[in-house]
Amino acid sequence: MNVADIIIISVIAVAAICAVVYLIKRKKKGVSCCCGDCSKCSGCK
Amino acid sequence: MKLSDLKVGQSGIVSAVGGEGNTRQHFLDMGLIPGVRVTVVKFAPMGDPVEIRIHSFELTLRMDDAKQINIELCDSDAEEPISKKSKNIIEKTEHPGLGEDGKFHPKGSGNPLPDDEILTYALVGNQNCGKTTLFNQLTGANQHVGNFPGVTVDRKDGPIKGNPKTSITDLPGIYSMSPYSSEEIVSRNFVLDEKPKAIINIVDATNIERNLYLTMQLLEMNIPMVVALNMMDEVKGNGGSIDINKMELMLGVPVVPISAAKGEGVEELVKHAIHIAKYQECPLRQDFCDESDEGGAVHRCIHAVEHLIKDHAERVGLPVRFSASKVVEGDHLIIEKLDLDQNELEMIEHIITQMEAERGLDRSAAMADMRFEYISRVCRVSVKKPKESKEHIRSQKIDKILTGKFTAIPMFILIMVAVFYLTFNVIGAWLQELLETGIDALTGLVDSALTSAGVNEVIHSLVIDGIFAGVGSVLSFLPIIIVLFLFLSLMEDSGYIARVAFVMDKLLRKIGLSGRSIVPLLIGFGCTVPAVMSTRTLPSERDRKMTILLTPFMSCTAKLPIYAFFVNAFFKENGGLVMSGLYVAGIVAGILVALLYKKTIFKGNAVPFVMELPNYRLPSPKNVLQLLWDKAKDFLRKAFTIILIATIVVWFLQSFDFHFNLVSNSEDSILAMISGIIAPIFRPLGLGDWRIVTSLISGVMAKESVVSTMEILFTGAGGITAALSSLSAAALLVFSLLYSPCIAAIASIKRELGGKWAVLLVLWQCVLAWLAAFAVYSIGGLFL
Repeated sequence: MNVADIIIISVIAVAAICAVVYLIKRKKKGVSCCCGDCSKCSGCK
Repeated sequence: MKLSDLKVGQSGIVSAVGGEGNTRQHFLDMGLIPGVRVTVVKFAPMGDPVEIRIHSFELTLRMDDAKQINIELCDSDAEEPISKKSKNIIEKTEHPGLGEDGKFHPKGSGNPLPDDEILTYALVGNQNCGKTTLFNQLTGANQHVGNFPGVTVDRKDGPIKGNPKTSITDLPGIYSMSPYSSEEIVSRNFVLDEKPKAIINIVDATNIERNLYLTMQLLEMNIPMVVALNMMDEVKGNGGSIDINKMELMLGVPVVPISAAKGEGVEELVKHAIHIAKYQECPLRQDFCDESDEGGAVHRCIHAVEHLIKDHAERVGLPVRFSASKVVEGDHLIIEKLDLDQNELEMIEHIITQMEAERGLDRSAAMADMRFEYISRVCRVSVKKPKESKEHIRSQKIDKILTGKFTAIPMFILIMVAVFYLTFNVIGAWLQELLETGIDALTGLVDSALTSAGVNEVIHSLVIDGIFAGVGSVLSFLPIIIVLFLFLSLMEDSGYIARVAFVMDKLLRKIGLSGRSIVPLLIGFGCTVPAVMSTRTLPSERDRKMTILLTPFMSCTAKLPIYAFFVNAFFKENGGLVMSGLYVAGIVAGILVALLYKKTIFKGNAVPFVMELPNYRLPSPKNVLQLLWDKAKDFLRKAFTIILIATIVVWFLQSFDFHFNLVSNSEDSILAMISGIIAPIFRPLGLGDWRIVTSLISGVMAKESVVSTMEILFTGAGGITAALSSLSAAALLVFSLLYSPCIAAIASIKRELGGKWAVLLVLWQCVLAWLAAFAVYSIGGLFL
């Protein structure tokens, strides 16, 4: 492996990790799913 | 004589409103009360539903429902009885200064809330009266605004600009506080349970009588409130005027004229809203029943019930006057909440029965009449009606063609064909080609850069065959998706979709749905997720469930890359025909499934079609661009998250074996091994290739992923055309059209209907897709 290989692999790995972290965070935070019915609310999952 | 007997242009005075339960209550809430004049505007092309003019707005009703309304024929030019009493007597009135600082609020008076307390507001108003536009003005948000009743289907919160210690909630549009649709229950519960510090009631000034009906009920809730009279620019522009001071005095709450679209009056509205919330200034008036009105029977009844339930209402934290009105109307949710004794219930029933006998109207009609009577009194002294607005005249002219007897359906078909033609063959296709050229050039550039840098062959393959082929192929569909959303948004914002619901109601009823279901179904051509969410506007649970289960049959834009990929590879000569055929096949499958549902799990009839037809409006460029930008962002986010991860995973699984050795032939890869287990299920469809199976499975994550996976897996000589026959490709297209929706759509279905329905839907669609693809492959095999 040369320097270029390591740089490319690192960039792809960082991008993939960012994508996974983003998806997990988004799932935890919840997207626009509020039904407005607070009496039955268990949070947006 | 029944309302259904009237011909176009004829008018009648309502003498009695039949029907029962929530539906009848809804008719009354919409202003169809005894004594009011109705004029038939037109019938839908298939003779049903009918559009009527009542007060100053248009409503649609089915003929079956129109048969329940008794009328007495009257002269079309004659004044209606209510307005006879309502000769405008506008006099100059002094400014009452409700909800204002300065000379109207002596220093040190009142009991202000602590400075650190968050002032919470509920933004409440009728459907399509400009709530979301005002919400955007107040908060600086960019929520989508439509010209169709019920665009806001979920709750949105945000602080008022420049006032961080405030929080305003945009609630779905409602016509009354009666529990007719789930939105009305949601909005009512929000005000009752969440106890906002104040209400901002937005009223469409061009349609003031109907809008004030909700205001009456909100005032009864005894929560600080400010009325925002929206669209005042339109009223003034058409020669009308409103004596704000007089109206403020009669309603007992601050009234602020605004134009939400132009941002006029919003600053003053905010000042009033903050003042009333801060000082908790409740409405000065909640009692709208008049002792002298029709012998005072309604007045005595409400006050008697008020005394009887006072202790119960206070115990459960409900406003007394509001509860009394709802008990008289027979609102079972409030009656249950109050937990009244049997004696009290019987006593109340006697009081109401006596009122009905004295008033000559049943309880619901008597209450609606009492409210509309007060509204007519308010309007008599404060409203100078504008002449027919130019927006309305323009709408009527456009409607002659778009909802005309012989032109409506051809125009709908023409518009839909034009939308799809422009999207797929002209604008979208041209932009797509442009983007594809750019992506190809970039891929070539990176390819040669990697080669000249002497990058490892495996990493080279990951970047070019994996990421660039996978993500690039999906990205190129961005223009088509944006263009399709542009047209759908133009149709919705202009007010055309409401007409489509009116025109298509009779047809949709044949398959067990209501005309309103057309909206989610049309949105389904864009994306299933918002389509499923928009079903919340449907007032019946049965219609809602059925519509949700049918939306995945409408080909969403994410399936486009799959269709385009196979059409280009196998059916290039008849591309347009195959593409259109797939869309039609999805609709036909939806119709057949709807008929099946109607005969099995969803027996019964669709709910009444009571809907307001808004005036046509020119879509706001800002609004449309905002929506397109949101859609583009969503798509790009998906391409660089789910699709990127999926392409890397697929590339990895097809490049290595279980011992993590690089394979020279992908048939020895991990992916080939795993997919090989499932492949036999697809063999009868001519789709036994493990690469096809893998692509289809990846499509459950996101439909676009099918193409990106295929781009990675079919890199060898001949590509996909060597692996599949035309017949297998046709079977695959049918399978892709009908099989499980993507994970985001499944999640939204689960949210709306629960996990059981979501799982059943996925299984059902997979089975259906398999059977349909098998039929295509077997029957096609007989001819080819």
